[in-house]
This record gives sequence, C-alpha cells and structure tokens, in this order.
Amino acid sequence: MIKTEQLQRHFKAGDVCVKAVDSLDINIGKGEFVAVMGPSGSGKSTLLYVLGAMDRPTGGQISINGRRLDQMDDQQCSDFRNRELGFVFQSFHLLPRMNLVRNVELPMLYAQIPAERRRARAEMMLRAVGLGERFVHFPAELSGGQCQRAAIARALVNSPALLLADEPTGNLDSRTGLEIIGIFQALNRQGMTIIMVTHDENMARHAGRIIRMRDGQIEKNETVSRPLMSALPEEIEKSLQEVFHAAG
Amino acid sequence: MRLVEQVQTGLTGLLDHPFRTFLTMLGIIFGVGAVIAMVSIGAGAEREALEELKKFGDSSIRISSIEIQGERLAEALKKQARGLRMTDVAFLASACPFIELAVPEKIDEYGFYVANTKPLVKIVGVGDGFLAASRFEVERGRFFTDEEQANAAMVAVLGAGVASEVFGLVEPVGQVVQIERVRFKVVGVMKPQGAGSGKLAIKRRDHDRDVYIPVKSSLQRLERWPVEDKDLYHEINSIWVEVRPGYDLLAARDRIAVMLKRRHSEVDDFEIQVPLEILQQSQKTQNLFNLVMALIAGISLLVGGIGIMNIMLASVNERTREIGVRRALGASKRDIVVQFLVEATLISVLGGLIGIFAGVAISWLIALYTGWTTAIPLSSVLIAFFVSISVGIIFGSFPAAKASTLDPVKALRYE
Ligand SMILES: Nc1ncnc2c1ncn2[C@@H]1O[C@H](COP(=O)(O)OP(=O)(O)O)[C@@H](O)[C@H]1O
Ligand SMILES: [Mg+2]
Repeated sequence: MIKTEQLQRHFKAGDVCVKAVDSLDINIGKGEFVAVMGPSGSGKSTLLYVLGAMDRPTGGQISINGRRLDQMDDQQCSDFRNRELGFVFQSFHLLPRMNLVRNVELPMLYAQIPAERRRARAEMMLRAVGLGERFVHFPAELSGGQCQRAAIARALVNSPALLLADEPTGNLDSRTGLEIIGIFQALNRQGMTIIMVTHDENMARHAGRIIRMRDGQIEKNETVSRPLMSALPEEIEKSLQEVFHAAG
Repeated sequence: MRLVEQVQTGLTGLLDHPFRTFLTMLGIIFGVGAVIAMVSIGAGAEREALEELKKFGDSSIRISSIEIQGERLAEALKKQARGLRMTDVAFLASACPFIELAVPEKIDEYGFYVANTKPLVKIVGVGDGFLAASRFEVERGRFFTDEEQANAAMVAVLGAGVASEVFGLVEPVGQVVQIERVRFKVVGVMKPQGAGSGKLAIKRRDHDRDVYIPVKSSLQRLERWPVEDKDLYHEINSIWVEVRPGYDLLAARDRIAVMLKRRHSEVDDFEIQVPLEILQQSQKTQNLFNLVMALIAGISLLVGGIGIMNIMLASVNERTREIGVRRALGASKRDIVVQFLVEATLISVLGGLIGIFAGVAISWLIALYTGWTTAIPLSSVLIAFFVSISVGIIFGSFPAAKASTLDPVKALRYE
C-alpha cells in the first residue's frame, strides 16, 4: 500500500545540508500497524510529513494506494490529505476557538459535504470515541486524553485509508496514552493502516512492526512477534466497529 | 470549501474579536460615511441647479440694465446714450435673426392698493411673449392678450403670493386693484414659483410677489415721479431673450452685446447673463468639489485598507498554527487564500455598509439643520459598496498570499 524508493528529504541551509530523510526504501502493506522509533532528530516526523503529503521529498519516489505523491500538485496533495489521510499530532492541534463538533467537521468542510451530514457524522464520530457528552465543549475545557480522542475522531471523519500519528501519546500520561493506543489497535483490527511515530518503547510494542531510524536512515526493521494489547472499554470498541461498518 | 461556508467561518472568526474587528472597520466607516454625506450635498446642489435650469430654460439670455449715476451718468447723457429702452427690444427682434423672442420687463415699486391694504409688491410691466420667455404658467384665469397689450389695457395678473395674501380664499379673478391712481382688473393668477435657493449665482427675485401688467400700460398710464435723472435713464429694467433652436447661445450673447453696446454709445449700462452658462460654471465648481471628495475618499479608503492589511497580517501570524492544521486536514492553498480574503472583505464590506448608513444619517441631519437640499444618488451607494469590496480584496490579498504560501509543516510546528 505504501512504497517508497530512495526517498530523501534534505534541508539545505547555506552550506549545511541536513539529511533528515535519506534514501529510504519502505514497504508497508494494507492493514499494518507500524511504529516508527528513533532518537530525537533522526527524521521520524519528517518522514511522516513526507508520507502525509504535507512535505515534498527532495528525491526518490513515494506511492500510496498506487498514487505517486511526488508527482502531485498542491491541490491534489490537499485533496489526498483530505480524503485518504488522517493526522493525529502530539499536541492535538484542535482549533481552540471551535467546539468539538466544529473541530471534527473541519475535514468535511474541505470535502464539500453538506452541513446536516457534516454535523451528523461529526457527532457520530465523537460518540464513537466516547465523547458523546462533549459536543459543544471547547478544547480548553477537556483533558488531554479527551482532546486526543477528539483529534482521532477528526482524523477518521472522512474515512481515510491511512492514519498518521506523530507521537500521539507524547503529551499524555501512560495510562491515557495506552487508551489512545487501544483505540489505534481497535481501528487496526477494523483494517485501518496506521503509522505511528513514538519515543516510547512500550507504546511501540503495541504495533505489529517497528521501524527504527537513525540519522535519516533505517537502522532496523523488526516485526513484533506478539504485540502488547491495550484493553479498550467495550462500548468504544463496539461503537468504533459500528462506525466502520456504517462507512462500509 | 464552499464560499458560503467560508463566509460563515469568516464571520464567526470576526465575531471572536468584535472590538478589534470594529476598530479595523473604522477607517472604512469614516471614509465611506464622509464621502456619502459630502456627495449627498453635492448631488443636492446639482439637483437644485438642474431644476433652476428647467425654470430658466436652456435657450434663454437675460439683458439687465445697470444703474449708473453721477459723473458717469452725465457722461453717458452727453454721449446721447439713453439706457435700456423699448426701442432696443424692437431693434433686437428685427435685427437678429437668431432671436425668437425679446420681451421687455419694467419693474417698479408703485403703490398697490386693495381694499384698505397696501401690500408691498413689484409692479412688473411685461411685453408680448412673456409667458413663453419666462416659462411661467397661469394657474387661474388668463394672461393678458396681445390686444390688451396693444391697447395698454388696465388688466393685471397677480403672482401667487400676492393673490393669496390679498384675497385669501376669495376668488381674485374679476376683482379690481389699484396701482397708484389707476384701477386695474385682475384677469389671472400665476402658478407659485417659489423663491430661488440663492445658492446659485443667478439672481432671482421672488416672482410670487410680482403683479404683471402690460408694459405699455405701465409706460403710458402709470406716472413715475422722478426724483433724479438716473431714474429716467433706463426705460425698462431687462429684456428676456429666447434664442431660436440651433443657434449657439454664447455666440448669440456676444452678438447681442456688440450690437447693444453700439446702440448705447459704448456706455456700459447693461449686462447679459446666460443661465445655462452660469449653471455650467457651477457644474464645473461642482466637478472640482467632486474631485476633491474623490481624493479624500481615496485617501481615507487607502488608510482604511492599510489598517485592514495590518490586522490581517497580524492575524496570519497569530493563526499560523491554525493554517498548518487546516492544511493538514485538506485545505489547499486556494482555500487558505479565500479564507483570508473573505475575512478582509467582510471587514471592509461591513465597514462600508455601516459607513453608508452613517453617511445617509449625516446627510439627513445636514438637510435637517441647514435646510440644504441633499440627495443620495444610488450610484454613490453602489460605488461605495463596490469600492469597499475592492479595498478588502486588494488589501487582503497580500496577507492571504502570505498565509497560503506558509510551509504547512513549519506552520504546524510554529509556537
Ligand atoms: N524545516 C527544516 N529546516 C531545516 N532542518 C530541519 C527542518 N525540519 C527538520 N529539520 C531537521 O531534520 C532533522 C530531522 O528532524 P525531525 O524529522 O523533526 O526529527 P524527529 O521527529 O525524529 O525528532 C533534524 O535534524 C532537524 O533539525
Ligand atoms: Mg518529531
């Protein structure tokens, strides 16, 4: 599903060239849950943004679902992010002046979905991640874990094929972090492909595969033989399932 | 993202900072408001001028006597000049093919008596064709006939003001009035003319206080009691000239000036006015006024626009992260451009609308307190509206471009 060849992203500043991502060949199949690990500055985020059509590679090729990202223009990249990708960030990146429903509606605004359907679907997604009582709350009124769940709802609202998460548990305590990992695992069980950058060995062990990076290159590519399981409240597991079946 | 939704988003964004939004609008509000108000004054004056022109006609020339006295009078008399006379009227009518009508007008302040009252009026002797030349109309009864004119008949037509003051609800037509020692029969009443606004450079007395009689009657039946020679110098006060269609008014004016001057032995004892020309000159003044207004409008809108640009740039800065997030969620560069353009345009258009209302209110207050005629041309409102839109688009486009060209990744990581 994801295939890169000699992928590179170099940053040039004067004479210095930072090889944030250097000659990466990566293959990730549909339905995989991959953790990307590595020390700070090893190029994990840069890789994620390049895979997420937010940043352009300075060399090499990427294709996702058969689409060549390195050959798309801005409008195509934007549409691709909008329809095929969901982003989850370390600091949630909910818009502070909007309530949760409006935050979750955002990707649908850019997908030209009519207002009533937008609202219904945003509420459904929020319910699915266990925020059924929090529609009109503002991000500042919620805990970190709740914010991150709202962000996941927002990432999923356009039924993407791939979920990209940059240290999604980095701002959370370990228990809340495990909750988020639990949601990822549940989504993965529904067939969602997930790439998650993390610092945390324990969180990474919940994925099916770990890519270890150093200085922009892959140091090690290991399959997790028996991933850890994070228990999820039954009703969330079920509502997520329903959402996926509804989406087809 | 659809435009309607962009507008909704923009509006909620602006309402997040109502006070800041209002301050940003002020420049536009003042600019548009001031211009609408000033234009309303200019347009009011212009409308008045046009109405005035309708009264005077665009083919009229007025020849008026100039009073001379003392040494100049003696000199003129020595030169055999005799002022403005009935013979001038006959001469102009016969010597100038371009003249359609030449109507004498002789104005006196004779005693005017009705019952036991003596209202102050002007006794105006006029010649044939006065109605056509003046464009005045009779409201009741009739004007005197050419025959009555030829016979120096003792008939009078009252100005509307005189008629209502003297006769009130009584029918004036058929009544008898006395001018000095002579009795005149009232045969008609004029339509009210209304006094001139005085804002235009055309002299107009209050014609509603005129009493019209045949000029011959005035010359032959009413006696003047001359105190000085100067009162005898001019026989009549003015000549209303109508130029035939197709002839150039100013050329006619010049021709008449030359011929009359010669007849008057080169004495400067008359002046010639062309209402159309005077109105055109006031139009020119008006145009200058409009130009200055446009300049002021331009400057205030420029300042308003710069204010908008300033706030939008600050807003782009403040919302860098939001821009990154929106980009990650699928906003294209175009979506971001439109978002900021819509916001800037909303500020300027709302400011413009408030300014239009403020301008209309100010113009209304000006009319109320000064009595000037003001008028709000639809065009000025439309232009103000579209200029406001343009200001938003023009001054919003730089911040919008800046927002859209932000690197999404950097924007997202911006603290
Ligand atoms: N916009 C940029 N300009 C220059 N260097 C950058 C830029 N973004 C990232 N880098 C560099 O690229 C390297 C990888 O960064 P990053 O992908 O953020 O690492 P990680 O997420 O693994 O901590 C770092 O050395 C960083 O300084
Ligand atoms: Mg990082």
